[in-house]
Amino acid sequence: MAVVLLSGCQLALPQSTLNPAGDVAQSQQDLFLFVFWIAVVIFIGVQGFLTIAVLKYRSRRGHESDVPPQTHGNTPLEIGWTIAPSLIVIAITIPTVAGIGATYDAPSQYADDPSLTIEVVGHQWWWEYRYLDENGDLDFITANELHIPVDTVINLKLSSNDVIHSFSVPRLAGSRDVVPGRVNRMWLNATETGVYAGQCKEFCGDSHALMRTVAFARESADYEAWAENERQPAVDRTAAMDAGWVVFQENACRGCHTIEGATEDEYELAIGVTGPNLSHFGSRVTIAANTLHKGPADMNMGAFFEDVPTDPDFMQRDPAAENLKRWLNNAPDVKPGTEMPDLDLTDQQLDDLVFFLESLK
Amino acid sequence: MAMLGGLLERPTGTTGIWSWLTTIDHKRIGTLYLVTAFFFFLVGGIEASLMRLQLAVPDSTLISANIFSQLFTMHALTMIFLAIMPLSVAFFNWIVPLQIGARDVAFPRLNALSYWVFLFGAIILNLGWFTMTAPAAGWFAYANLTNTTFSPTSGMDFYVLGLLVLGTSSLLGAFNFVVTIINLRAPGMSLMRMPIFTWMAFITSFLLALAMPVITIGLVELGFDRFFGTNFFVFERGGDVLLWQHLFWVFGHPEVYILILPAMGIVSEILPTFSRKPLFGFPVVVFSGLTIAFLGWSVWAHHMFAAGLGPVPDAVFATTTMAIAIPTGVKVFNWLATLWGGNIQLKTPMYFAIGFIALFTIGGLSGMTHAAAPSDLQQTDTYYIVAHIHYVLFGGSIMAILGGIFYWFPKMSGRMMSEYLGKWSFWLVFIGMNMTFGPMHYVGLVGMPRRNFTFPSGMGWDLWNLVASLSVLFMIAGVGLFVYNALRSARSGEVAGDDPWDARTLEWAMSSPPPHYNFAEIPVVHGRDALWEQKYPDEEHAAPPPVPAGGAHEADEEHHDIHMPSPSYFPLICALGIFALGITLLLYQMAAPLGYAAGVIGIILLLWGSYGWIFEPTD
Repeated sequence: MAVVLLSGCQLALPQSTLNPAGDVAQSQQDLFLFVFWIAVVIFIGVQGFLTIAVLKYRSRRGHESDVPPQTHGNTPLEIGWTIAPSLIVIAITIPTVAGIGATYDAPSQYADDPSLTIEVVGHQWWWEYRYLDENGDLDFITANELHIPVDTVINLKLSSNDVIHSFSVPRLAGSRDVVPGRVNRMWLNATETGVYAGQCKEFCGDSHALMRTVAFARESADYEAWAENERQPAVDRTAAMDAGWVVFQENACRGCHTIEGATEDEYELAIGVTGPNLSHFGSRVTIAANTLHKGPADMNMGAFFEDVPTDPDFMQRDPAAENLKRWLNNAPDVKPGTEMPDLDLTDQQLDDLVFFLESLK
Repeated sequence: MAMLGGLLERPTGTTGIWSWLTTIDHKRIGTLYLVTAFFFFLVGGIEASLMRLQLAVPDSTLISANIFSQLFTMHALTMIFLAIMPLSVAFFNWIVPLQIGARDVAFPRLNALSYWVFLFGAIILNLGWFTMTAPAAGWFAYANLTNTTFSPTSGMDFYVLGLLVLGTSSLLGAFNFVVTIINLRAPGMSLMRMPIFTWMAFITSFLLALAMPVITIGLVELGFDRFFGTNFFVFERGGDVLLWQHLFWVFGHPEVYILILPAMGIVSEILPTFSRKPLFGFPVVVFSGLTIAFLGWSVWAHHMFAAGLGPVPDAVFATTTMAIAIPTGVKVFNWLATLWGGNIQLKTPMYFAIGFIALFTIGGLSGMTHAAAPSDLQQTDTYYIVAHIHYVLFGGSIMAILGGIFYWFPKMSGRMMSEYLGKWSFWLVFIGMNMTFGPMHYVGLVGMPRRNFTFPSGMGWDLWNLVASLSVLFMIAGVGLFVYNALRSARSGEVAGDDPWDARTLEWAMSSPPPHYNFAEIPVVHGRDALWEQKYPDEEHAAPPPVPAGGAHEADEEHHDIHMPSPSYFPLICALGIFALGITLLLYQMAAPLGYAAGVIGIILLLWGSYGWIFEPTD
């Protein structure tokens, strides 16, 4: 079993807890493996003793009714096997207790690292990320795709818009619940660039399984370029986008989604906050909290996580935008219980809407 | 008021449906519990199988998200409240009075009431299936997903009312067994001479009596939020969602020991019997059981490590949780030492008991890995935890219960179950259980969260989910064979005799099945393993002279005048009243007049039942 566990890195395991790409996940894995190997030793001892006892003392033919010595107990043994597990438990408890604080706040050795604070807001069933600047003011808002610079302390402030969720990107850090009425905190860092899968872990209603997220850990310069784009308003509307904008307006999309225009009436009244901010939807590679990705419809999620980091032109892989159309046309069919309605668009409307949304780079 | 009671003559029949509806015999009530709970065990199994069917392949669309939520919620509720707990209570009923040399429990009619209330609670909890609106917020039902905004169907109402009614039943049973065990032990049976199963029943009863009120508080608050618009868990209006989690787990963790301690008791009976030597370290096993029960109250927030309580509570609850490993380990070592040096009879109950040790140990060890709080943040709410709880509750509780049924079946029915079929069912269940729940450790560690109605392909989860799903077939075959074996053996199994296993405790001292008065003469107890010492006085240095005790068949004729209380209608009438009151709010929501009618009928039935009960003549 251990071999299977440790060879995990060979397979595509984008959401594995045993394939750390950050210090928090690494320390969690270290603690797990420490306890795990102790458990393996005890396991072998107990199962071995059990097997030997049964084989050695099983009744022989003709001796079924023999009465063995009626041993009632042995005090030194009892004391011994009370003390032994106590010592093991103490050995496990010390690193456990020592490591708890570091699941909340970055320990002091990270004091000199650059840091970034992001507010994570859980919604049924998607994630809103609100990046803060160094003064603690709102910098920009995005959704479902978390971009972070490597070797940077990322402080997450977690809150919920509706029910309890739990934020986790296992390759970076284990989970922290997102509790309505509270602001929880956790931190993480990425020690290598990559694309990591995450998912809500606390049951939060019917589409809990589809409340996913993707974390992109990038070199600082790449991250900064991305962030700079996010800070800008959405691109000005071109004539080619008008048809899609009409579809967007007619179907009341703007009641739930925000598109920040350069001027107030550029994306008139697209100021809803029920759904994700779409100002830069065209630069995202996933749809509906990674329920679907923008790759070819027949590409599975594992392949997506393998290809995305290495293929800068990933988005061109599916010019037909099959997955996106599936979502736009009938969202509740893709994500049961979502507030986004079944729009039932014509093919032309779908094409226009896709063009419009994908233009919002 | 005595007139109201007088409307019904005290029933006297001993056969037919009415004799079952009015019985107050602990053995018949035990049988009712056993059959009902085993039925719900099969229902919970069907719910689980449907989930495995859905999760056999990625991106499956066989079962909708909402139905899947109902399935995993009801699977847990059914297995915990309607299968394992009442199966344990079935053994309490059947075995405890026999083991302590009593003719019945302390309050026989109360015992009947607790069965009927259990049955009606189970029905209320399952009512949602008729409209496909069963509870769908998980058995842990975290606020605020459970309020009327996020759970608008009646599902959570069934949850609240069903569990309140079931809790009433558990409390009645718990008080009954505490009083029975304290007061009705045979002369000479001091606490430390009490059989280990009775000890675990005793401890479990205290846990029940103390744990059920806590969940009751939570359920009443949730009920008030849902039915009357209060705001206990509505954070926008000053409530607190974590309040529910604390209340739930203060109940929920002792509940885990309520599920496992009786199983440990069963195993602690089977191992000595089939090793033909006493339980090793009896007092230590008793005290470690007490320690587990005591520490069980101090660990609840280890279910909330991810909730962000803060480093101090996390550290405290991690430490107390670790501490439970010590008495648990001590128990395992004593079981191993019981085997060591024995003359081990590898009969089917022993297979299940040995299987219990092997599997429960795995569950305990994986428990240690998530007592390490920082590491648990990765494992919590993944399939790793699903694997853990099934090694504890299936590998532990269910294996022990199946072994216990096999062990005491001859006493209950007078006939043996087939050893040949029994071993087949053991191996099928054992293999199926390991191949279903074993891979879940791995699937969880590579990141698959639990309570997901579907999962994407290519994440490293596909293969082992398929293996887990296919292996369910082994368990279905094993349990099916077990049921067939029991049904067939009840009619045509080999006649058992009084003491087919050459066992150690008093329940084997009378005929199988026992006469309704159990013991013709209340036995006098001179040591632990009372029956064994009568049978093998030479093996004990300080063995007392054999005491003539129960089981003297030839003396039957002389004992027909033993006074046993007659059956009664009133427990059932009271339970019907509680049932009507239990569904009052549900009906009120459908149509106010229906609600009023149910309420009035419920109060009338409860008053009639209570007064009739009080003034019922003794014969």
